[in-house]
Amino acid sequence: MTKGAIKTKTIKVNYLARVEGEGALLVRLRGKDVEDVQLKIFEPPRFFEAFLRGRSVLETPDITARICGICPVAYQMSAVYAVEQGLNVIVPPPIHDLRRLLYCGEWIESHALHVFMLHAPDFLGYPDAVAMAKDHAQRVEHGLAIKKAGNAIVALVGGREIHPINVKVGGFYRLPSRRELNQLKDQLSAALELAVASTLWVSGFDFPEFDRSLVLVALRSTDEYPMARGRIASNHGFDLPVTEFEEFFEEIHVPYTNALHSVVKTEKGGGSYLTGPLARYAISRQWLHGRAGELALSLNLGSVVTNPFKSIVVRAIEIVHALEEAIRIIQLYEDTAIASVEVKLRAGQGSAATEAPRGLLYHRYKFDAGGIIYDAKIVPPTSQNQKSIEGDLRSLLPRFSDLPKAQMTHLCEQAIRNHDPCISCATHFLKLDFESVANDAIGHL
Amino acid sequence: MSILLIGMGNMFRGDDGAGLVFARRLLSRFNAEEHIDLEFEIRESDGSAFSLIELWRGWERVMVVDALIDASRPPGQILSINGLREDFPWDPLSVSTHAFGLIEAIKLSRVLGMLPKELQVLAIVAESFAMGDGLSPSVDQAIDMAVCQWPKPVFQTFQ
Repeated sequence: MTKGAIKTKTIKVNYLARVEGEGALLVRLRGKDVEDVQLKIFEPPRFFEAFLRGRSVLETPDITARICGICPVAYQMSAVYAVEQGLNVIVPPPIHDLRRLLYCGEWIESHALHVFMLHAPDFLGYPDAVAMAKDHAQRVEHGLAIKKAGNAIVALVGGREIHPINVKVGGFYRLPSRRELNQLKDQLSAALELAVASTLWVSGFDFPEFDRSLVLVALRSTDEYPMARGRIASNHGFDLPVTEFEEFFEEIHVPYTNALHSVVKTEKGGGSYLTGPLARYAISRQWLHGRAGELALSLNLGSVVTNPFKSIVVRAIEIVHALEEAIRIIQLYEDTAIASVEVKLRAGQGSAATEAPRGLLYHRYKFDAGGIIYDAKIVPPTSQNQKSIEGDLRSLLPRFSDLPKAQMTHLCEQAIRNHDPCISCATHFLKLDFESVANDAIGHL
Repeated sequence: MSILLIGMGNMFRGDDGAGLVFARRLLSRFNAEEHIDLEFEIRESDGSAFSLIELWRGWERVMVVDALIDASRPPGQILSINGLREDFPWDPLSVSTHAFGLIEAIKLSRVLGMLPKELQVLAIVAESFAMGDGLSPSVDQAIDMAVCQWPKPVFQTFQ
């Protein structure tokens, strides 16, 4: 290398494990300056929005559930609420509560998978959950028990654990009996105790010193921690009805990735934003249930968690909350509820956003008088979070540019996992190319 | 003695559904005939490690049927592999696109002491994992023959 040249490096990680989907990341550094960060999603486009054209709005919960094996309930919920909004169908509170219970099940199983199996090994220095289990078997068993409790809810209310089949526009095909729900209570109560202990466990991890000022976007409800109702709000002043989502946010094509990037429109301030647990916590932490709220206070999380690495703590608190909420709903459930309300088809347009485990999920459908869809739009959380993930890496790397390459690479992967990206949703495995470019006066790489 | 048979895979990715089809056809045959000596419980799994661990937790004898990618073998060939062997052929069985699949389920169960005493893996050599349902003819016929001759083994022991 020529004397006095700026040292640049391109670090490549060809396969990022422990995320959902297939993709890659390229990072190019010049000295301490980040020249380029590209979160590349090379999983082919899946064309679900096109599949929906020509199909009945009544089919949306079953078609869209197939987008993801981890968060099918989120797709079902956004679909049914969007169609119901467009058809002016109002579901009675007991059905809304049961849907919320089903959503709790998905939050619990999805978060437990991420916290215990995908993310915790990062903080404890293990390559994966199997290696971690050799030293932390009991913790892993707790994770399995918590996840199983979530699965039990989805299996009962949703009809089966994977790709539930019991959700319909207007309600459910079949309601669980009070007796069936009561049978879950002991399992959920035991999982709650494990979740509280697990939150304390993850809060004791060593977190890299790193803070970000992020535009955080989530649903805000007037009376509950957001899942399926509310306005879209942010910590930077946005407060809009879901029907105005497309006036504030737009999806842009980026050449290096098959997933669109959702950003705030230029005329509305522009730029990236983050959805998911950190956003929900910042906007609605006052609605966390008793033990979840107490944990947030006792752990001094503050009003906004600015260190993305601490997302694992917030995710653990959301497990506690979801278990408390599930128990609450089951205690109040009455057998007399009707399974569904009548749905009359008509021409129109409907939209809805709900809170998938990893962030805001927006659906919008336009349909004719027979309820046949001619235009559909689905904006998954990972599309919305991609640009913020890249921003995290841009901010993080200059501070850790002196780390050995292997450590820096691991830090990048860990930082990506902070946001539990689901690439299956955004278009399925993430392949990470973290390049450290060595560029001297001659200019070779 | 009871045996748990788990068919696993994805019906919408071509031959990846081979394990599920095997389990369903075997169940149909068991329901149609009552001559089977061994008592089987047949279940299905999407193939995630957690689903598998929960399914086989507490069982002493387990058989898992899954699809296999192995270009050196003819499609439809069925291999029997001892799932408990330390030199389990991990790579040839890496057919799952899930981050946690059968291999992780075995490894994690071993660490957690949750492995059954006997674990047999029937691996059906696949031809295609293309999008869409339906098996390739060679895999389809091989499953039919195996189910028809059950419990006579029609598979080769993996070497």
